[in-house]
Amino acid sequence: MGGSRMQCDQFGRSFPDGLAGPGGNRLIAHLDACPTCRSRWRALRLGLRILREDSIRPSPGFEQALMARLAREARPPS
Amino acid sequence: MQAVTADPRLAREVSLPHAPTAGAGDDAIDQDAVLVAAHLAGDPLAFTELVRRYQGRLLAHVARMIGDRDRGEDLVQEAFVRIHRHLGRFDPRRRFSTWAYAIAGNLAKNELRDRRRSPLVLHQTLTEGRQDGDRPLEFPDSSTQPDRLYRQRRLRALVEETVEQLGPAHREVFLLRELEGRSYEDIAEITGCSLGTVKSRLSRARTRFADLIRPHLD
Repeated sequence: MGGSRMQCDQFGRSFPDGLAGPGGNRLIAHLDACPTCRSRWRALRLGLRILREDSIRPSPGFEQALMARLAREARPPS
Repeated sequence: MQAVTADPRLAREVSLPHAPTAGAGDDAIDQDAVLVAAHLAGDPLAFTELVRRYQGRLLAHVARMIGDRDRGEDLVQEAFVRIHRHLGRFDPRRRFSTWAYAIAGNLAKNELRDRRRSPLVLHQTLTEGRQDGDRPLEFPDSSTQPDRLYRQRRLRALVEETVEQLGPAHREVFLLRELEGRSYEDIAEITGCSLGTVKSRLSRARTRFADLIRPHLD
């Protein structure tokens, strides 16, 4: 591995948000040299892509049930 | 400082496909503010529009937080009821979306706390009971590629299970950032944590998520 344990920790704290900053090139260089961080980053990218494709939507009756509940709440107690 | 030369191919590869930021942009915030004001002025359709804008996002967040879609719907309903009840006291200087996520997130955290107190309560997980119709149709040729379809579904289930393995506090930050595209400042406000805590939790969550899912992706 191209980086020490400390370097990998630093990388984990700064990546990927630090890419656009002044240390961006150092982060990329670490990624280039360190198979562990490279493999971890690829796994993160792919995992997130799969997660983002998997949409969770409300069931068809969700909105109607909510509005009915709100209407009941708004009604003064009899 | 150590001089480095970045591999441009690698630099292209690491540029992140960022999470969608729908609802967090300035236009969306302005529309939320308009809808809140309209609701408070008596427009009967304004709150319905707020529900339509946020029901999917809040449900996705809460369902993944607690690992249960059906219960997630109950909690999001409850969140909207609370939002509706307290909208008159909403501080218009705040973002509606941040406030809504905080309410829904607190309900999810309470749910997880209650489960820890009552461990015998059975919960249907995200991956159980999922209907085929719930799936987005992004694999049109799947009928002729059953192996590929199976692998895609298995991967999705694994990824959802991996998210559930993150601790609740890390999972919340991870989902808000990576799926909802919220800023660090928003996440700090939603979770009631400092910016430093948000960044630290996100870094740990990313690393753990990657390490858990990596063996299944090779």
